[in-house]
Amino acid sequence: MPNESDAMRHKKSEADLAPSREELDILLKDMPLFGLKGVRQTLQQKSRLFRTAWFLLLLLTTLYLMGWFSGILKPYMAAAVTGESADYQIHQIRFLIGFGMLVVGTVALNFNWQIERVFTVIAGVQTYFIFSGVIRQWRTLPDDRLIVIGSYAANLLIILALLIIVILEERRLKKAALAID
Amino acid sequence: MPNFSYSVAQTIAFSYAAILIGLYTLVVSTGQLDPSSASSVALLYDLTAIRIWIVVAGLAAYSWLLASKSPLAMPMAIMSALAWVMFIEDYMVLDSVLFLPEHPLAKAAVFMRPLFMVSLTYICFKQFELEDA
Repeated sequence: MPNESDAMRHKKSEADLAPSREELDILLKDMPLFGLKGVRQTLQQKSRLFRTAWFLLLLLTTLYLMGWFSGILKPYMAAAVTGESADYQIHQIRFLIGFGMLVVGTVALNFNWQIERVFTVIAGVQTYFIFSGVIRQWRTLPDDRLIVIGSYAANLLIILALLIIVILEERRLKKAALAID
Repeated sequence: MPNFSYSVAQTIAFSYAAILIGLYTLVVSTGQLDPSSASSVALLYDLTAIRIWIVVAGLAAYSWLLASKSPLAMPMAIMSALAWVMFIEDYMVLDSVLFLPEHPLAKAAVFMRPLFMVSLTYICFKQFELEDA
């Protein structure tokens, strides 16, 4: 039965090539996967400004959630003034997208992988949110509601500024690392 | 050198942008607006106008970068992300507000949108592959 013995030999050689449990454990020991240890390790390699910007982004997200669920933010929302349910839904969807982008940013930090590119895309989407949101509010809200537009724009611009700091710091650190090499 | 599938993706992306600009021009010039409610007129105008300007700016930026042989990957990544964000917004929120004129251009735009997004994402990944090589 030449075919059967060939198959057995092939199976045996495959089993010889497969790494053992101990080898796999050693290889996977330093893999951060989705543990927060990886984020901490990456942040330790970054500058103080980078870390501060990142923590402020997380703090703003937490404060937003607190403000939203306690109802403090609701009177300042465009939907509260326009009464349009689509405005309310857009706000919710955009926060969900923003939260998703923060998760993607955290994963990039966790693996210390393509941080500059990931945050540049996030900043691009954030710019779209500012641009479309301010134009929408400018056209819809009455004149005496400028404070709502101002607070909305300021809030989003602060987030954009923090994202730009993260991008520029990452670029600077990468250049510095290349210069040392 | 871009391969055949890259050229196809480029053609789809350019065609979609052309259809969208054509449709918007047609709608604005003929006033064929039929929103679901009177209060949604402003929202409809705003969001459509913003999207069209983004498409025009994206098209101009892409053509300029392509002609000047500048790096394209990052701008393409941003444009792809925006296309997906707008799609999510349209699908989840604006479905009840946006109208669809009974015009072949509108049907073509709706039909081509998924193809456009896949093409844009493909161009973006291919561009990263080309620039990183």
